[in-house]
Amino acid sequence: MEILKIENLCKTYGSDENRVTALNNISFCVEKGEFVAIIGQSGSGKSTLLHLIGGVERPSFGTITIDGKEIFQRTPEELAIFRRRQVGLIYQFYNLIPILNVTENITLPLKLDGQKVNEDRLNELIDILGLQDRKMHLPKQLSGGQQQRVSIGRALIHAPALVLADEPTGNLDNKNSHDIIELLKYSNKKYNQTLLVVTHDENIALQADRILRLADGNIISDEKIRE
Amino acid sequence: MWTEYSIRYIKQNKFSSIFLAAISFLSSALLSLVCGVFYNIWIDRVYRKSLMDENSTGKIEPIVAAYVFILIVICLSLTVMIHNAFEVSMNSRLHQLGILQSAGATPNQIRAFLLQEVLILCIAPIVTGVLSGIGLCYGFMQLIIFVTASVRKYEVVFHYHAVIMAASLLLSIVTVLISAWLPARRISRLAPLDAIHYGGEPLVERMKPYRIFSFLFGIYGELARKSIYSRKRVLKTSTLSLTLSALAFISFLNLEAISGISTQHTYFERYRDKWDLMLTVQNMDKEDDLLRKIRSLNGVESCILYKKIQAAASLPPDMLNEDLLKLDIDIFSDKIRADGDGNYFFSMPIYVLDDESYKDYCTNKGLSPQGAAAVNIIWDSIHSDRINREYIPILKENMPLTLYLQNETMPDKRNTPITISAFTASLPEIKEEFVHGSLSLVISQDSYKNLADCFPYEENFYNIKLASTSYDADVQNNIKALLTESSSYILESRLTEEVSDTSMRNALKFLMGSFAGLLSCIGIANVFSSTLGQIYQRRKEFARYLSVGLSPKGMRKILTVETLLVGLRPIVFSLLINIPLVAAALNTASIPAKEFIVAAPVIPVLIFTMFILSSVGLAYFLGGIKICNADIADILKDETMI
Repeated sequence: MEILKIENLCKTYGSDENRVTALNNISFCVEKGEFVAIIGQSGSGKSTLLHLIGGVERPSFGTITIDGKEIFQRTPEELAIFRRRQVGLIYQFYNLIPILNVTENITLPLKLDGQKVNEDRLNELIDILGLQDRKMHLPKQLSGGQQQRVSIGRALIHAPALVLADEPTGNLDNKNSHDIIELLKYSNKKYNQTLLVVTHDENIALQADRILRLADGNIISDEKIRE
Repeated sequence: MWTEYSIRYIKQNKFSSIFLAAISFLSSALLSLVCGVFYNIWIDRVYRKSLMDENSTGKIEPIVAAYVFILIVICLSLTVMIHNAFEVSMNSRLHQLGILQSAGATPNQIRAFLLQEVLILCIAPIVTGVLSGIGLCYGFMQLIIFVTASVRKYEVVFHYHAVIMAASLLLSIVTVLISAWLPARRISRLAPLDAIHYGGEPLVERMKPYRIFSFLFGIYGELARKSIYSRKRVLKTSTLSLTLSALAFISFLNLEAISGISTQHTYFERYRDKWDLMLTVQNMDKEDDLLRKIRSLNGVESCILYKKIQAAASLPPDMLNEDLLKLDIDIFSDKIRADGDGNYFFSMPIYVLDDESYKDYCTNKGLSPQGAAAVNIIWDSIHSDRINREYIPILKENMPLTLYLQNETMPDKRNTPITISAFTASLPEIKEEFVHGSLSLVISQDSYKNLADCFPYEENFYNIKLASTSYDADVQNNIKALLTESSSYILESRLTEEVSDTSMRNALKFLMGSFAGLLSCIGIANVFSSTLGQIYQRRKEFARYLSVGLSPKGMRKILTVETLLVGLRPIVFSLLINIPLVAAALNTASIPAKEFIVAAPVIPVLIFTMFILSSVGLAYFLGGIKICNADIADILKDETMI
């Protein structure tokens, strides 16, 4: 079942001689439960692609359809709700809320939705993330790896249709990087969540089901690694 | 290089620079105003002393020491407030300063550079502020002159001296420099890497749960409250300034309202039926002639001519009421004392009425007009309180009773007899307050002839009641026309006093409101600086929220809750502090709470609250526009903000 469909997607910045084309008319689809790695050099447009899919940026042209609905036909309020419920965003630099502790950071999307927190699900998630002893800690009191786990927890709490990770291991050492990718793969398999990971690390990319290679805003290859 | 760098930085960071300039201007204006006002008060004091022929060479007195002390307190308070403002501004460029240090700038260079920048930015506002303070002082004095015109006996003019201006300038410069030096010193001692890293968001190591805000406003309230907590250093100046100004203003208004009610009760209402005009004339001939003429004026309902003399008498215990003797008499009043012979020495004010008025007084009270009438009561302060007073007699009411009066100012004039033939519980309807603890006597002019040698008088009092207050001005003019050029007199009008009292109170309220407004401007300037000078940090904060699904409406809710918190917290805190303060003041003044509630200064407090709230709201509105127009993706990618 197709969860994500991108058609003729373009993103340009600036104008006239300062015009930069970050994405140049790209199209592809992603099946539900697929683990896709998006790989490319710096400036290839991979982060821009992820931000467009996550509704954080608007395209210059083209459509992005998630779960049968075009996301940019939504109003700003609807787009915010979309980001809250249907997408989980994970960044290289965590982007945790420094004034909220681990539990509060993870449950923030639920609270913004006005939903009551399912304590069982929360505890299960915290156990999977290995943060049982850190529930009341603030981000300042956590290591880089722990912060990224919190970020993953926040992305997963709503059980979103899509999890988008932009260089999730870019700021971590090898061991933590390995642990983070394992966590993402685990949630991909356990919850059948579609996972898109932007990375420049070929080793990480090879763990995905499919590799999309970008260069200069174009898809130069779309390779299925495993069924 | 440093000067050029400073100027470029100032141009690129307009809001921060404007805020620091504003805060320097406001604090120097305040200091200059206070210096000028103190100087004028001191000059006035010296002049009044010279009028009273008191020795005054303008030497340093305790009052001057008090002024200097208050000035130091104001300087210290301003230093605390504005030092935080400079700290916020310097911290916002910690990252840059860290890079400068890593490139080789020494701590001394960093410190000198920061102070140089403060001087470039603040010297013009300081000078302007001092000059503005002089203008404010002039305005303040003009207001005082206008308001006190009817009750003053001499001319008051505005005074100023170059020394005061120099002192104001020096104080302002020192206050601003010390405020800037403190954070500059701290920053110059930071390690370069720490400076680079801390040049971003505040590092939050502790956080409170704030369940009340979560309960009241949901997740938005919780996020707003926690954000303010994490930025409490940045907002310290505004918190202090807004809270101090609100507390001072609201407390003053409440206490002034209570004072006004008390004055109404104890003075204006009490004497409303007793006098409208009071003419005090120095020893003069033809006093009866003047009395007759005043009584015949159109609009005059009645006129009592009276004199006031002070006597004393030593009373043996067998003359005193038994109930009084059972109690410890000395504690009733400092006007009663045991004289060592077993007798009690009483102060005795004697009121000498014109014969006709005395006759009317006795008729109204059902007293014998022969001899003297004694106001034979004393408040039993042991068994009753000020509100529900109970009185007991001083003397045993065995009539007639002869007392032997003494004039303490004329020791050779002793034992002048006076016969008391009537006892009563109240004075005549004149502008005199019953003196607790004294034995007041009322006699006629005729009876006074026997006492005149021992108890000379200096003034005649004409206690005038008008048929209607509309006759006030006309009767005053007519009375002035009756008095010759050579007469020395004072003509008071209760109506004018009441109007003056109201005017003075309103003027004081206005002044206090202006002072509080000026003080709160420091805090409001800080709010503007923290919202408009920290746009990048706040964009980062909100970009994170937006990335997890906060809607634009949600952003506005968070900013609205922050506005309410910053604007209303000082007011709410001040109101809470005022509850016990007002309760204590009402209790002391014996005023029921219902009466205070009717007179409570709701409108001025509301106006002040709206002023603060709208100013803070404007700052957040302008900041909100800039925060909302952010590119989330770009901000989230910024790796310096880790």
